[in-house]
Amino acid sequence: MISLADADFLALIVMVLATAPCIYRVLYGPTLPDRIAAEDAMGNALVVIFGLYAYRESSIFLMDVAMLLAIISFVGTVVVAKYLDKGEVL
Amino acid sequence: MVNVFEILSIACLVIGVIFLSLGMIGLLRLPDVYNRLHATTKIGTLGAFGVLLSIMIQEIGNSGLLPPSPMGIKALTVGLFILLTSPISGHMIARAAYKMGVDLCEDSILDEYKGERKD
Repeated sequence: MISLADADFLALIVMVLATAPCIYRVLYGPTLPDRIAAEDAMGNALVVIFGLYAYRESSIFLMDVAMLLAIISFVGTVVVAKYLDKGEVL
Repeated sequence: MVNVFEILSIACLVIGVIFLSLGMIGLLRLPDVYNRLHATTKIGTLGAFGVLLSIMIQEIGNSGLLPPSPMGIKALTVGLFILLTSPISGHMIARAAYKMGVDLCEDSILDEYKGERKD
């Protein structure tokens, strides 16, 4: 019988393994938007990793790290997309 | 003794992990940047939000609904933020890619934006 903490730990392992395709796509992506999309997906996966780890360690401050990482990932993606679109950020 | 919070949190966790894994496989296997964006925006909406909702349900099951625990509220906040912002960033990447002139893959049969690409 698998307990809930074991399920969280298995999910954490799957998340960590799931960042490998993102790293491959960032390194070898054919075009620049491929790399940005992979970076965005890896940011989401890292937010989930931090959330699960914060819950396992029952530390509220690691959940703050997850929130900050989500905000910075979104802002960075939007800035790079606008730079590719117009050639300038603002 | 079957706990309803346990079943709900396991269901949300399994849905989230499955969608996140499928998104990563799509990022690795699909042929085109637009197809890859189609796969990776599912990570934000269903995958990450499912896992963070599962954390909130587990926290409710541990410590009760009232008073709400700070960990569950923070997990739900992060999940809602990702749920709102992930489609926006995906749309902006696709628009920037099309404006940059990234071509569609050879199997594409329709390009409705063809006349609107600049220069």
